[in-house]
Amino acid sequence: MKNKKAVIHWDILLIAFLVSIGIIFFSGTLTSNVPKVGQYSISMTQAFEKNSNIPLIAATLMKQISRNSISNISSDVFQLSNCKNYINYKLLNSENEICFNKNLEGDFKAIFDKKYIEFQSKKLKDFDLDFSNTKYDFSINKENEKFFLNGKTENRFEIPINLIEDKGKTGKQIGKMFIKPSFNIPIGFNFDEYENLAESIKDTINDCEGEDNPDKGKCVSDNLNKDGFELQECETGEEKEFYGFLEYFDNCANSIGISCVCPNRPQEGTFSINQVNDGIEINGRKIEIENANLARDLKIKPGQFLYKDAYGEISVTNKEEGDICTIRAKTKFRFCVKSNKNQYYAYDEDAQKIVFKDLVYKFALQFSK
Amino acid sequence: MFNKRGGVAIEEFRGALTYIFVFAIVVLFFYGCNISNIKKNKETFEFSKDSLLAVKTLNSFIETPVGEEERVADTIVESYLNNDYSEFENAAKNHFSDIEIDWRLVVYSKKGYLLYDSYGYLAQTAYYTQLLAKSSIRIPVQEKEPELLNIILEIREKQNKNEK
Repeated sequence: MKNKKAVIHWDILLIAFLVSIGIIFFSGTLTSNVPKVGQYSISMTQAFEKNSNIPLIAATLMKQISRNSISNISSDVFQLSNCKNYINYKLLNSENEICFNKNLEGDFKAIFDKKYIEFQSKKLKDFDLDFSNTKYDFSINKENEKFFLNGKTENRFEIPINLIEDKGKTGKQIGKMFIKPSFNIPIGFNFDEYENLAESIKDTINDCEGEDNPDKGKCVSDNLNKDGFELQECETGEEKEFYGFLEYFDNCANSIGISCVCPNRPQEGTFSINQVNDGIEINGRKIEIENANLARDLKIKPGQFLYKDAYGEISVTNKEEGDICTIRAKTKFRFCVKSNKNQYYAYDEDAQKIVFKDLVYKFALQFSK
Repeated sequence: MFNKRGGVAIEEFRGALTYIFVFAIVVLFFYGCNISNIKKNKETFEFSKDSLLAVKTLNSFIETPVGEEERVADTIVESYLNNDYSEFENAAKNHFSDIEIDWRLVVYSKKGYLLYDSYGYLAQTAYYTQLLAKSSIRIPVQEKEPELLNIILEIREKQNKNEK
């Protein structure tokens, strides 16, 4: 007999319930790409925070390039001047005003730029910042007696912002940010001092000029040993020997007389002298010396002398006998002036560390008499 | 068979009980999943929070001024060039002494050589507490040979002082 009452079909209800659960699960998979609340903001904050150090990293890099450039300039501040060379020293004189470098800041910027381009060309593997397309406009500013290098760029780093998923895994890109790596860094070099020294040198040449001042070295010393400068010995024993011989060679080449032996040969050292296309080389180093004509390639040993033949060409002789050439009065002097106010920070290859180095200005002065 | 007194049939209770049972299991399953999700979300949130803390802490550390014109980022480069990390270590100790986290700073070269480890070069990994998050910064070196220093800050679970 059939039950007349309405019957609840629990089995159907159960199946319907399970189907609904299935639908919920299915819909769950459909909406799984919707990010959790706060995921975007956390991802963006992380990206901003993580990349906020880019200007600092750029500044740290530029400080190194600047230190390198300053080291380059400071090793010989006058190297880029237009002055003539006197045995590897720049020869300064009061007549040739133009030879004093008026734009040391410009030279620094040029060296910095060159070194920056070198850095750009050597791409560092794994370095996530690509500077290869970043071009800077460099300017030097002076604030509170200190010099700063300012680098402005319109080129931006494009940095993707990715969704941060579970345990820091990077998800899909949700945007991008742009950072211009401009910088302003201290240079650690006083460009004014160079200009002050250049003025002092000009005054010194004028003061020490003439026969009233026979002791040029003392006169120069009295004039330059002030205002934060100090004359000092800066050549090593080897350099002294080399430059001493160059001076002897220069004196000989420009001496008065022919078919004569050049006197006052420094006793140390063996030197090879070779004629090359546009000058001479002594011990493999190209040297600018006026009137230096060789009879042939030479090798001079201790105890030997230079000889100037009838054609004014120089050769080697073993004895200081016969006619002696007349050496002209010395008008060119080499000097090293140490700054007592400025030092610069540089990487020392020998010490293999960064050290403060004395700033030493090397130059030669020429007097007319 | 029907209840003679006009009550509900016993077979109908069996269906209802099965339904209630399955319903309870499913609800419990969902509840469990939800708890697991909450836990996972909490872990993710904690991880994001710790990651952000690691990033912020490392950034603020390398930006810390050292002397008049230098920052810790410059000190790292100099330490590498001088092969002496004492100044860097002092800067790190000063900076992190006020921060309530257990930290570890490591510097690697681009080839992966360990250059500095604030735990010491011979630290036993077995004694490390659990890593919560880490952040890294790469700084190029232009002097000497070109190098890329990888500075990593790890934030670890606070060590029990009694264990130290």
